[in-house]
Amino acid sequence: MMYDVVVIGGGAAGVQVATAVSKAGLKCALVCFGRSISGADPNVQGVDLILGDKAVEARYEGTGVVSVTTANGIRLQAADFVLATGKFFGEGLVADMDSVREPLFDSDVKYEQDRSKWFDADFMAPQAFLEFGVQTDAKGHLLKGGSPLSNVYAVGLVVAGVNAAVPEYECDTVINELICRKRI
Amino acid sequence: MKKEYDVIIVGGGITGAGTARDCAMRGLSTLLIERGDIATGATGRNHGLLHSGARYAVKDAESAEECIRENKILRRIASNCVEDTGGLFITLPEDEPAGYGLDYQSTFVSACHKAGIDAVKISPEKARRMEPSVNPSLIGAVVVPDGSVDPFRLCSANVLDARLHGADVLLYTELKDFLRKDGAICGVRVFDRSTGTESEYHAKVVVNAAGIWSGPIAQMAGVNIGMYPAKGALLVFGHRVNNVVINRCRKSADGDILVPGDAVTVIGTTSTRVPFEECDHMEVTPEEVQLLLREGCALCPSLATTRILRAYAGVRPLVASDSDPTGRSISRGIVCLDHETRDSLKGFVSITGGKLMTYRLMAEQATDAVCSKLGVKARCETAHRPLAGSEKHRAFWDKPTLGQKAAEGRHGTGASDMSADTRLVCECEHVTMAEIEYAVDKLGVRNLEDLRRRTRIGMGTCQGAFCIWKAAQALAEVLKARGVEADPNRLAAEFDNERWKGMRPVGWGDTLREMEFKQRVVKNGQPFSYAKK
Amino acid sequence: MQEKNISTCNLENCQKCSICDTVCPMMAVNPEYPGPKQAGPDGERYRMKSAEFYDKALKYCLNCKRCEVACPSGVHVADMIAAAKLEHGGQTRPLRDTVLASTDLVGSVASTFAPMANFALGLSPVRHLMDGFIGVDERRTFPSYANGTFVKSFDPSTQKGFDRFVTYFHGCYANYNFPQLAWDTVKVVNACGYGVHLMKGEKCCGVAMVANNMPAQAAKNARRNVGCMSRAVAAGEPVLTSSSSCTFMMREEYPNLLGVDNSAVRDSLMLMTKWLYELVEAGKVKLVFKPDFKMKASYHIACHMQKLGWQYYSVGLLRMVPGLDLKVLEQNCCGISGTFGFKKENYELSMRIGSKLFDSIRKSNPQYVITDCETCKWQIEHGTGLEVLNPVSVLATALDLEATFKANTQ
Repeated sequence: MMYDVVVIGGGAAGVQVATAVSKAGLKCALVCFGRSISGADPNVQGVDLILGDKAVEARYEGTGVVSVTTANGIRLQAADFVLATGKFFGEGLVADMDSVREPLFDSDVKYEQDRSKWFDADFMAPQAFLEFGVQTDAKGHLLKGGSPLSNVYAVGLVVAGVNAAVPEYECDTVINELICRKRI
Repeated sequence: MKKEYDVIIVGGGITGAGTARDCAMRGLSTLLIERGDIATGATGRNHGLLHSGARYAVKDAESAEECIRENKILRRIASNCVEDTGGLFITLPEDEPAGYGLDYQSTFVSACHKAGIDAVKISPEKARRMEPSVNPSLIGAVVVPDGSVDPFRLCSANVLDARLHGADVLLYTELKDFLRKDGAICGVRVFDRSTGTESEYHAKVVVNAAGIWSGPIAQMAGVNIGMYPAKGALLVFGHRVNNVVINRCRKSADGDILVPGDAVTVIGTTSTRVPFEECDHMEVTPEEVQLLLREGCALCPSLATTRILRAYAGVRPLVASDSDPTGRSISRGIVCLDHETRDSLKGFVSITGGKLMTYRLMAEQATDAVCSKLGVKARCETAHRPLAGSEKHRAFWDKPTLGQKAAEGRHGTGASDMSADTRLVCECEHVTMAEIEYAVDKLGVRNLEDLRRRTRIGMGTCQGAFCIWKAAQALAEVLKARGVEADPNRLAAEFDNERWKGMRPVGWGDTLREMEFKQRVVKNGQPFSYAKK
Repeated sequence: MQEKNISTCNLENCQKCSICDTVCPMMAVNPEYPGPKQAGPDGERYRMKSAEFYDKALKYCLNCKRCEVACPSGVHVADMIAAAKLEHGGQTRPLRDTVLASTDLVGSVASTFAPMANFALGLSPVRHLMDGFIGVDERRTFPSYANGTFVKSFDPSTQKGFDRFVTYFHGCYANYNFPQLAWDTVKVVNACGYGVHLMKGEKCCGVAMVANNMPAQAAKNARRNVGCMSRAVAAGEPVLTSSSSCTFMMREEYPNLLGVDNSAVRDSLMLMTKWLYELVEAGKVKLVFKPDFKMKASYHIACHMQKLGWQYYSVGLLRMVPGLDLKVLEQNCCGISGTFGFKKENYELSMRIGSKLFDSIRKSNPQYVITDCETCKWQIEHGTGLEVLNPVSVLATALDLEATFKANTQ
């Protein structure tokens, strides 16, 4: 099916975006791999919920993405995509022994190369790894290979600089952008 | 509390605990002091391997013989702390060119037999059946009577047993200085860390059983023991990967023993000499993690895809003898020093060297030395009488819950004293409220770290991420009911830092996810209300 | 070296977040059940140490897989529990459990003597006896048996005119109890321009055998079915089903629980609604609906359907029906869990679990309830008194079959 927006990730940020764009009349699907520890309820009125399934593959055309396919084999086409998969816990980021990547779009991830700087010995002190994340431009476009993907946005914990333990972020820039694009 | 004792033992590791038990059993009035909690040094920071002695058979026949003797004794007296897993010594194809092929295997087997170790050569096929996780490309295998031993449990059982025989135990009590009379040691001045007060205790003999810290303590007494701190790093995996101990049949090297202990598997160890100042603050390096993983995967390939819970390191209390930089050629032999004959210092005995496996023998030798000084003729009975908890018993519950079964596994007959409060606190390790109460009442627990060493609380998959706050509140509640004020925030904070230390060296993959979860739960509060029983 | 530290046994992927416990329908009503986290990964760690840590309360697990759907770490919580039950658990009442599990055998006997069997099963003294003797709750209405099976009355010669075929796995229910579903499937497939082959040698998928601790028999059936399916797949035909439970069993539980490799057929084995949805999406099949069709219905996502993620297709197809006023209910377990709710000792639990779903159905006030699972059908009919339809039957009624046939064959 063709959607206006496919939101990948059913945590607080993903649900916020899905709710807002759906209210604005956009046709939206929400891919939600497990329930979020944020307590967000992925059952949003008017949004097609794909629960317990994971977007695992993206198909590209030009500077953007045309569809994502889930582990269960469901192919979701959309005008715009929103990455809201969270950090490590949400598997928006995956860490190996010495590198961090974003598994779906393989987009640009900002992280500390020197592993010894990922953690502070004091548990309560700020921890560098909690702020690793994907890089975006001013409008929230996801950067891949240094340039923005024209119709893919990132919101919430997955974004670099947003602290996973004490999350503070806004989704309005991306929501407005999505709604404006639909109007054009 | 008394002020005069026959003997004061310094150090609450396994050696000190065993010595306290032996002394108390021989009728001496005994005081054990420990600056922190029991089993905080090398005792709690090793494999938990119940050596058969096979590892030492080729190079150090004396150690091998000691090991197999003590192995058999521990199975008898500490059945509750020991698991008879059996062990394998495997030969891999790559060992052949290094001179440790099947020829070495034959040498190894005959050395084992000479030391009295029941070593049986089996086919690689049979070894794969016996332990499916073993590296399938092995070319030879020998079965030996290895097992696993829970060092925390063993130490705790010795302390409990010592107390049951009349010994006094002071934890969080630091030795400040020795008391002297006419040039002889006649007691100790100690600092109570929880109250901040100093006090003095007198004794006819003081035993230095402080492991790697025996050096500085001897110095305090004015004598010298050259300790050789050899760091050993280990990794803990998330669950039991193997059910049989797997060793590499070659000269002892890094990361060649894989031990299934309780609900986890441990790989170790490395051996590096470290400066003495590091002994109190061991950090596992990335190089050590990589080395242990590489060697571990050679024993058991599935470790490559198994979650690592944490890394830790201990310091072997070896006594320096020569200039070998690796520390491996030093015999793990027992060093029992009567400083009266050695240094003309009366009233002071040091017991060091040795290893977890020979703790009982070390205690026996130290106690013999003490008794001969005091003119006591009582004989050592520690090899025959079961430790507290390990007595033979019948089932004491009709329909035990999982928590009760786990508690019985950990405390043996001690579990029969537990209340019926089976509410779970630590869900990974099945620790109940009743077990916490028991640990406070009978095992001297003051904080969550103490509780962890007695019960495995927070040692499971989540490393306390999910239930440590619940545990902190539960412990504070139990302590409060016994008139001890404790702040759950402080209890949890100490615990979090200690768990964090072990997780940092292996913080990637699922362990890193857990670390994020732990940070989030602590710094942002329980994310949503969990409908729990 | 460790590329990723994820074990194949995946219990340790568990982060102990306990989200699974918050969605478990059994835990919500039964204090004796320790919940999926304890019964699954926590218990498994200790069971690996010793079998004595097996907890008999695992028998309460409905195997609904809601824990797995909710798990943010991809842990196969319910698989782990089901495997432990197969390894350590026994049958509660061997005679009753074996009868309930043997849908194939009992079905073939009962449908031969259907009037008698239905009459007897409907009699309260008989139901009372079954309640007392074998432990099937007397408040349950046994699904009635059809007079003669679907297979016996299916005439292969009616399918001769087609040049494209699908193979149909009808399952026990459509064969013995409710042939109408099988006929509806054949009608719709035919209208799309495809002929129907029955699967030669089809056996019960085994879902009830697994639930009643008969793994050896289940594995035997599984091997047989995979063998039959691979012949169909080799002939280039997809294997279509009309039951979500059979489908889930054959796609997921065969390899995960029974160790039967189905990789050769897995991708070709699917619910008819998935097959049809994808053809319609790709423009390869056209559907023509009756202009006067009107229905108000609520769609219930069966638990195994949710785990497959395939309500996407069933709902997608139903939304194409112009006269259908469809409400998709929030996912709740109906509580029947195959044979679980039929057992005397489980009746109350089963109904208590279902009550949340029944309430939401009543609130939506539909004419019909639609779901892909036959055991959910029995439970919802029992709990609400409403008739429950399979999406395939709704399509068979809503489609102008002749016009659809023409659109797809000319």
